Amino acid sequence: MNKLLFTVSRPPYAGSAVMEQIEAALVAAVFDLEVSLLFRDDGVWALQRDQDGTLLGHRSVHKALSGLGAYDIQKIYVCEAALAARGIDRSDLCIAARTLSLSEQQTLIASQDAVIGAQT
Amino acid sequence: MKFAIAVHSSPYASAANHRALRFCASVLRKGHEISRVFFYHHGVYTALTTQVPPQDEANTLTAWQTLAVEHNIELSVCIANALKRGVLSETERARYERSATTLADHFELVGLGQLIDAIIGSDRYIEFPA
Amino acid sequence: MSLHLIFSAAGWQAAQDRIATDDAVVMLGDGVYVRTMSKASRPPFVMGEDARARGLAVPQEPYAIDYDQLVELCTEHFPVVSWHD
Repeated sequence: MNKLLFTVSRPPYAGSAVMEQIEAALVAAVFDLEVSLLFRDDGVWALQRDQDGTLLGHRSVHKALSGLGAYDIQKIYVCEAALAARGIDRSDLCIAARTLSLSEQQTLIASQDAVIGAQT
Repeated sequence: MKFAIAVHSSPYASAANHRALRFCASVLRKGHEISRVFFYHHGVYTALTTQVPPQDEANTLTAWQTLAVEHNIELSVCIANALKRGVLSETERARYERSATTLADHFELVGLGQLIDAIIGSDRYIEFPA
Repeated sequence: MSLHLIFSAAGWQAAQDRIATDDAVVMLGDGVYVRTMSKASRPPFVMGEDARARGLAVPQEPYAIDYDQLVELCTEHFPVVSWHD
C-alpha cells in the first residue's frame, strides 16, 4: 500500500493530535509514497495564518505545516464547505492548499490505500 | 491477508482497546496475519506497566501481552507520543534520567516510520480511534 | 468499494457526505446510537455487541454483525476508513 491520506479534523490547539498527525505525514513523506493531507471541519483552522502557539506553551502548528513543502508533500487539500462555514478566506491560509468539494473528497478517499487520522 | 492495526485511545477513555483486541482475535481466527499493532496518540497509555485495573473489569494490558506471546504479534508504541506522556522503556528512563521504567513487557517503543512501514507491507490498515 | 467504520454520531456527520453509494458502512461503539441516516443509500451494518451493550435493539440479519464478520467486510472492501470526530 503506498497511497496514504492523512486527515485533520480537529482545531490545532485542542491537545496534541493535530501536531502528531502532521508529524506522521512528514515521516510518511520520507518513504517513497504518495502522501496527501486533507483538512476538514475544524481541522481547517490548522491552516490559519499568524498563529502563535507559544502563547499556549506549544509549537505553532502552522510552522510545522511549512515543513510540508520541504518534504515535497504537494497534495494538500482543504474542504471548501468547511472554509465557507467558518468564513475563512483562502488568503487567510498559511500554505497553498487545493479546495475540494465534498464529492471530490469522496473520490480522494476512495482512491487511497490507507486513510490515517480518526481522532479521539 | 495482512492487517496493520492502530489504536488511538487509552484503555479508560474509550473502548478502542477492547475493539482492537476483539478484531485481532477474529483476524487470527479467520486465518489472516497481523503485521503490527501500533499504539498512537493517547493509545500509548495502553502500554503503561503500572496500571491497576479494577478486579471486576477486563485487564487490557494482560490481554495484549497474552496475544503478543501466543501469536508472536509486535506491539509497537510510538516513541514520540510515549515519551511526552511518560511511557518510558529502561533505555529512555536512563537517557532522560527519570525515576521509573513504565513501558510494560512485550511492548516496544518505535519510531513513526515503523507504522508507515507496517502500512506499506500490509493489505489493510484498520484504525481504532474509539 | 470502501468500508466506513463509524464510531460516533459526529463521525457519521463527517462521513455521510463523503461516502459513495456503493460503499459499505458499519456502526460501532457510540455510532450505534445514530438512528437517522437519511443520506445512506442502504442500511448499515451494526456491531451487535455494541447495540446489545447499550440496551438497543439489534437489527435483523444480515445487518447485525460480530467481529468475525467485520474482518470479512474488511477483506471485501478497500480502503477501510474510520470516522470518529
